[in-house]
Amino acid sequence: MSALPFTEHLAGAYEAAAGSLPGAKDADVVARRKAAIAAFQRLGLPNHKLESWKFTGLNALERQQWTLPANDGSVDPARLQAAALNADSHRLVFVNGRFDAAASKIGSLPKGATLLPLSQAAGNLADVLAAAGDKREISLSELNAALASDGVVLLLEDGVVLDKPVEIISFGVPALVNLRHLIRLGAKAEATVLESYRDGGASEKLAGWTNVYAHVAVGAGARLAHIRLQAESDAAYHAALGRVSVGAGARYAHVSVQGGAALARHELHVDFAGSDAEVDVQGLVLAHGSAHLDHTLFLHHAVPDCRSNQLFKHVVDDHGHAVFQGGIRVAPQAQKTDAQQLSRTLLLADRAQIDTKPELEILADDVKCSHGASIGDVDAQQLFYMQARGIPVAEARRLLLSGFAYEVVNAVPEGALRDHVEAFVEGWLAANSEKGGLK
Amino acid sequence: MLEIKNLHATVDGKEILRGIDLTIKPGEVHAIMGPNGSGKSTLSYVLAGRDGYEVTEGDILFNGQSLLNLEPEERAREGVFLAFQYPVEIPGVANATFLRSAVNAVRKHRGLADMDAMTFLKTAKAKMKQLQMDEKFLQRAVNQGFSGGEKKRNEVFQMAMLEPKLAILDETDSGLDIDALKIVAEGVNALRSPERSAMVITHYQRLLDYIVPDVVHVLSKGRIIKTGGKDLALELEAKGYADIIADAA
Repeated sequence: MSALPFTEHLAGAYEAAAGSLPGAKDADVVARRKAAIAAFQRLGLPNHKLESWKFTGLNALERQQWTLPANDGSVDPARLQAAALNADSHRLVFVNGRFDAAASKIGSLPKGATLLPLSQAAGNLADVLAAAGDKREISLSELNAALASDGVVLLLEDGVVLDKPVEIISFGVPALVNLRHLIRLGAKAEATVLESYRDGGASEKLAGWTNVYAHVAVGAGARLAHIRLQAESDAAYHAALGRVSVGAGARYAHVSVQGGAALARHELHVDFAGSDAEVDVQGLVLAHGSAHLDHTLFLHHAVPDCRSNQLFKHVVDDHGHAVFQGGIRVAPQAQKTDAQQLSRTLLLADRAQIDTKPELEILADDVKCSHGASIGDVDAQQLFYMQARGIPVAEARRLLLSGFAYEVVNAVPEGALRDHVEAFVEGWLAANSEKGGLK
Repeated sequence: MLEIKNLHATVDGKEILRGIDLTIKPGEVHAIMGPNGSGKSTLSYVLAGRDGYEVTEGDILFNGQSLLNLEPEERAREGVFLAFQYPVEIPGVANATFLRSAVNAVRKHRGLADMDAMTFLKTAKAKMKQLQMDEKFLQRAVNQGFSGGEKKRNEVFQMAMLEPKLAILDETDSGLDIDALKIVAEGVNALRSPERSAMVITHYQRLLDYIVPDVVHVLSKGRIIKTGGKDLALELEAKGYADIIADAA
């Protein structure tokens, strides 16, 4: 709990901005925001003393005097086009942490569907700002609740199916941006959501900090495909916490690709709220330079007859550092749980690092649980086979890395969405290969 | 085409090839036969330039140029092709992607422009038809989930696409039923020309019924102990390796 001036500085930033934040005239909202900033001041940034923050430190955040972004902002059309899906979508674009109506196109929605930027969802504000929990780990999400300037509210009533994906694009800026999302699917509703965090290109040198909180509720028998692409600038900081509850017979499929930022953590908590639900969480980390990219998961099997699968792949070059913490808790009553976990890593340089930690707490006796981890370089036999066909080593390695990543890319729903994620991964590999990396 | 001169090679410090001399002229097909452990596969890997296979003495000349200082990919681009005994599975990389990279690497070396996607597909599909391979294999990951026979067919398919000057077939017959063997042999024979040569490594004579060699060599303990015409293979089949090795000793 170091550097009081840091938390005080942010509390000051809140005071200055309070009047212009969504819900500034709503006494309940203001009270909630005040309580949140007080909680953040009390808790401070999470540090290494917390088990779940053992491998990822946020000290670098304290070295910068953070400002909240200026109100106005717009995105260069070419940059937007490069970041957007090449397909029809319900698109919400955020620049400077605020909804950019000109760049967005929410489009028409079926009856029973609500899709709004948080800044226009006055009736849902108090709900969206609700606390993520009551532990010390929530300090970042409390900071987020105090400062959230915008975000997405997606509500689907029972049985409502969205055919087109919801596309959330945020462009990072050299300031502290807080976005807060609420995604709630009623029984048997279906949706696909893509969250993209992109380099806003405002400055190559100045770091921005994007702090995201997402609350996701998947109703009974509902299906949600939730894709997350963290492609911030190499100087940026990115912290995200997602809390997901999954109802009986529902399916939640999450793919998280992190290929940007200097320091990033995506933490995801999934609670099984009803039996016979299925959760598939897959991740891909592409770390170069001195990037430190963290996935921390906690899957809580609280009820019987549910299945979960975690597959995380890491490509770490230069002196990059990847972290994977895969927590699974199977409660005593959660019999017939099937929970699988696999972490695979390719370390491409002497100073590249991975901390990979399974954390299984199994309190039921009739379960199928497994975990595994592998760490290595690209396979020498595969490399030789490609060379023996005339393929240059650099290209062969790039192809092998692409093949390694493909399993996760393949978990993204087929079509424009998968093409989009694949293009990002291939672009990352090609750019790093061209500048002599990935060896 | 290929001149192997007094070739000695070690693997993990152990000498496997102990003085091989062999010359293959353009258009010739040579068979290398021999019992298990005689060094047949080592010879193929040494020719392809695999890491860990160290040449300690002698030289390998390919069209007058020593291969020893060339990387595996450079040898491949010069026109040396090794059909693997155990083709390697590459999850996540489509056969088409892999092969197009290979074709274009070889074309670049020959001063030719990249083969565009349409031409590549057309050419590939025509070759696959000859080999009675389903076109779906183009989109599948390289060798992943292929049966033994499908893997071998895929090797010959790659060879047909890359049109090498020297094809080295390392036990391409192993794991093939007779129908698959005929198809694979036809694929190899289709490439035979006065400019191309082949080295067919096999344990059994039966492949040589379909790919008829000009010269047969018997390899034992890292040396060629006998060389003859195609009848030598039949003699081996009849008498077994033990007699031939005893005769030569």
